[in-house]
Amino acid sequence: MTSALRLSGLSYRHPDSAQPVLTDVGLDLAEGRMTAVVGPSGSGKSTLLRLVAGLTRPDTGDVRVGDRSVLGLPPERRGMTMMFQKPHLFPHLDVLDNVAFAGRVAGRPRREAREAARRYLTLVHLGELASRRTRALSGGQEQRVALARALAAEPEVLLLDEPFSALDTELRSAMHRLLIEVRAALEPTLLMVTHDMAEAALADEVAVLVEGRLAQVGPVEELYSAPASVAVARVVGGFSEIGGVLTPAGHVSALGTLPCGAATVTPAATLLLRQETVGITHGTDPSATAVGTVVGTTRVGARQVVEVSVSHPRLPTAVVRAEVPLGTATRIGECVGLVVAPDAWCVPAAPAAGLAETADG
Amino acid sequence: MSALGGRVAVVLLALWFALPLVPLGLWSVADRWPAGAALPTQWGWSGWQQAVAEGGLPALGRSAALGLAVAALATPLGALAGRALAWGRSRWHGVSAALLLLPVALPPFALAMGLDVLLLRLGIPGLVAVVGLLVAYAVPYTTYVLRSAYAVTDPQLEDQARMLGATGTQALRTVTLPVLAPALLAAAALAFLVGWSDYVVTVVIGGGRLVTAPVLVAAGASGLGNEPVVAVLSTLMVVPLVAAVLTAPLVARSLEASRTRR
Repeated sequence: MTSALRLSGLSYRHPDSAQPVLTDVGLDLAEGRMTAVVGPSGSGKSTLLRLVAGLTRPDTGDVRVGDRSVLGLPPERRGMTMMFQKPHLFPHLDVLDNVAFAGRVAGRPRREAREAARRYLTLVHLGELASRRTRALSGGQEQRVALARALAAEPEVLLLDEPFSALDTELRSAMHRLLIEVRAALEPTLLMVTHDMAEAALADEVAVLVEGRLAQVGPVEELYSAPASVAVARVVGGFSEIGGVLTPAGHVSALGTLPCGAATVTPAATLLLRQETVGITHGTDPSATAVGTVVGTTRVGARQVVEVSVSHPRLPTAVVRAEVPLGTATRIGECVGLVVAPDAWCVPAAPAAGLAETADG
Repeated sequence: MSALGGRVAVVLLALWFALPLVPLGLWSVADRWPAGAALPTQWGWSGWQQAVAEGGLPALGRSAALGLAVAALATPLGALAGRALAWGRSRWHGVSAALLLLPVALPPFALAMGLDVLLLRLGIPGLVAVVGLLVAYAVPYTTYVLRSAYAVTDPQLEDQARMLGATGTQALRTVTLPVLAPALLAAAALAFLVGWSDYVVTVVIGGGRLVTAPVLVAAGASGLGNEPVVAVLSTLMVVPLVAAVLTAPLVARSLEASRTRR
């Protein structure tokens, strides 16, 4: 498969800041594929899109679309378009002319541009709103029109800067379904920035940006099963971080010695446990991996996350989070057994992290 | 109750503005209106004939040309300054804003006198100097109006247009300017009025050679028995303002309609 977009060595430092926003970012997007960039706030996600789009000039590095470098080209000649967090519909144009905008500025006759626009409006299920004023649209309809308008530009690469983050959960899910439909129909090459892992899961590949550097790139399953570092695990969320030591027998911590796959050979290692792979049982259950005390519970939709603290006479206390069905009877201070799945994962211990911390979801 | 209060306020405000125009209107069609009489004792068009004879029409033409020239220069300058103040990220915003407003803060007569000497020494033609100085007076108003308009317009709107294939100029022409059209019209109207109604700068810098409607009105008002001519010219000078007030809602509606049609 040919490469539609290739970023190499992109670095950028804001003129007012001593710290670089992005350092040596490289990424390869195959034609027709979708890549999501995730990262905490301030990690440089949106800046990366602006560099790719040509709205901001990088200090170093290159942006190639197909086989040509577009670094010296202005945004409108890069063969890309971008959807921002806000729909940015042009208020002086009706819905159809918003979608026909790219055709018109490219010099196409009005009728031709409008005919093409109508096809894209139909694709996003808004054909009947063609003559509507943009002010009369709902938030979800606005983003649909913005998507149709971006697609009507027929870009080689479509950049999405958290375009659905301002929508409520239901509308966001509807936009996700629409994006899947659009991908099936048009196979556009997509680069999307998001802070929502559920949204990132729509992509074929997810790139994790931590403090301006790419910390891991891979399918979303890989990020959940084998994050490259504690920082990546924190971005993905839902991991318990158990400090300990890696030995030939496995990871040794307050939970005992657990066999694990590892992204490290260093002795000081953090065991990462996904909260949905940890079960809770009676404190006297012989099949329990470890026994601890409930220190907190949090409801998350139809599930609840139970925090269990496991003490050890010589090793630091470990706090493990277990995601269990809502209604599982537990109370603070109760002694419970933890059942840990055998496919745990170890990474080098995070320098700043303590030996017994939990990852924040 | 509040709607009724609003209506009463509008009527009172309209009366406040209209009352001074009533005697003007009456004087313009009065051939004789002795002191003490409630209404003119003799009606007629001599005021209009006299106004035409004294060059009233060319003077109004000169005022209109001056207003249009000031609007044509001060509106784009105000747009540039407004854009920089609203969208720029300069540390010197406060200083720039204060400098822009300076011409309004200074007494016009003192400024005009001071500049007259300077402009004479520099050999700048009077008409150019008059237009230049009036533009300097109008720019704070146009800047203020357009800064407010830019402030409520997201700069990303232009980025969005660029990302859909528009060049910088196309983005400005096809997106930013249409979005700012009502504010641009308001700013241009204000700038026009600065040129249209100016007296001090025209007289001092123009040196009496540029006879505009306000110059003619002032000359007439300083003499005796010219009330009908002064009234006619003053009434005509109010026309653009009244026309602007009356047509503003229609213009706004047609702009809105053309947005939905295009």
